[in-house]
This record gives sequence, C-alpha cells and structure tokens, in this order.
Amino acid sequence: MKPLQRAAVLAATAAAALAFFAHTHAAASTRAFGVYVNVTTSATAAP
Amino acid sequence: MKPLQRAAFHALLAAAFGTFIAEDNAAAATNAKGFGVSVNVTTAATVILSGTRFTWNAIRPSTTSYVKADNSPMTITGLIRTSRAGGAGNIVVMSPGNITGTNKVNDQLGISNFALTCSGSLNTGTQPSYAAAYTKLKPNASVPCASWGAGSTSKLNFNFALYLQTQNNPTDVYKSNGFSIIATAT
Repeated sequence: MKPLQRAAVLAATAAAALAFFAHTHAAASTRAFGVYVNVTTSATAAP
Repeated sequence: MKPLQRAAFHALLAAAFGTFIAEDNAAAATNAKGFGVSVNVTTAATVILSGTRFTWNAIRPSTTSYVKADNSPMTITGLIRTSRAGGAGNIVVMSPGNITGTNKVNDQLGISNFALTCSGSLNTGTQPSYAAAYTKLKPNASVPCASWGAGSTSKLNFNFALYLQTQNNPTDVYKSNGFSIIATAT
C-alpha cells in the first residue's frame, strides 16, 4: 500500500470512528400519540 | 531431665512450632491487589406520555379562544441527560399533515389550529426552558416543547397540554394517530 493510500485509509477509519463515537453519544426517544376531534353543533357527543 | 519434664518440653516445643506455622500461613494468605473503577455516564433521552390520544368529544365549529382537550394535560415523564461539553437536550412535538374528516374527504382540520403548552416544576434536577404557551403546531414539522443546556440531568415530570381553536371548521369527526413527541440529548 502506498503512503498516500495508507493515509487515505487511516483518514477514512478515523472519520468512521468519529461518526460512530458521535452516534453512540446521542440519545433519542419517541412516543406516538393521536387526536380525536368531534366538531359538532350538538352539546354532547360520544367518542 | 525426667521423662515428665521431657514430655512437657516437647509439648511446649510443638506448641511453639505450631504457632510459628500458623503465623507463617496467615502471613502467606494475606495478599492485596488494588483495583479501580471506570464509569462512563453517557447522554440519555427517554420520554413517556401518560396517554395516547387527546380528545375533544364536542367542540363547536367556531371558537373564539383555545379549547383544551377533554383529557388535557397529559404528563410527560422520563429522563434527559446531556453532555457537559456542548451538549443539549430537546423535546419537540412532530405533527402530521392537515387532518381529513372521516365523513367528508373535503373536510379539513388544519394542524395550525392546534397549540401546545408545556409547563410544570415537578422535574427533579435541571429545570428545562419551556416553549411559549400556546405554541402553534405545524403540519409535517416539529415545534419545541422543552429544552436543556449542556451538563443537564433532569428526571422529567411536567404537563403537556394540547389546545384547539376552530375557525369555521366543518362539522365532522377528525382522527389522526400521526403525532409524536420526540426527546433527544447530545
């Protein structure tokens, strides 16, 4: 492997490691929810 | 030395030798190795909503002010922990597109008719900065609810209220399960 190729491989490896590091240090969580809306002129309505 | 004296002497020697062996064994069995601990406390973001659907069982076609959902507010619990080095935590609400009526396809309920208010001081740890009261939801986009800065740790317990203001909306039943509340921490 030529020096330039080796440097490119090392740079790519470092970038991948950094991306992995950044990825593992971000946390996320999601909860879905909905809505039910009865637009009516009557006083009461059932869902 | 008389036999009795000799026996006593031998017994004394044996006892002394036994003590020496015991002490030597005790010293050999005592050994210490130091050790340490390494604890990497990483960022965390978990969010739990106390319900799954906000309901307005009977809302007029035109309201002059925001009407809170019948089962509003819900409670948000969970955990936010951010990095000390430039970290941040956010809870946002993602909305679907405008909602089509279940009776008539042409009936539409605009997402921007909804508004949220996130509030409360029962969180443990770092208190968040809440979005302004009655922050309007946006179709196919997210709006803020609460945020934290770097180095925050907060066990969540706050209110998430959803409001609706109708503006000459056609009478119909509108349903959607396409909303989500999203927590992130870096």
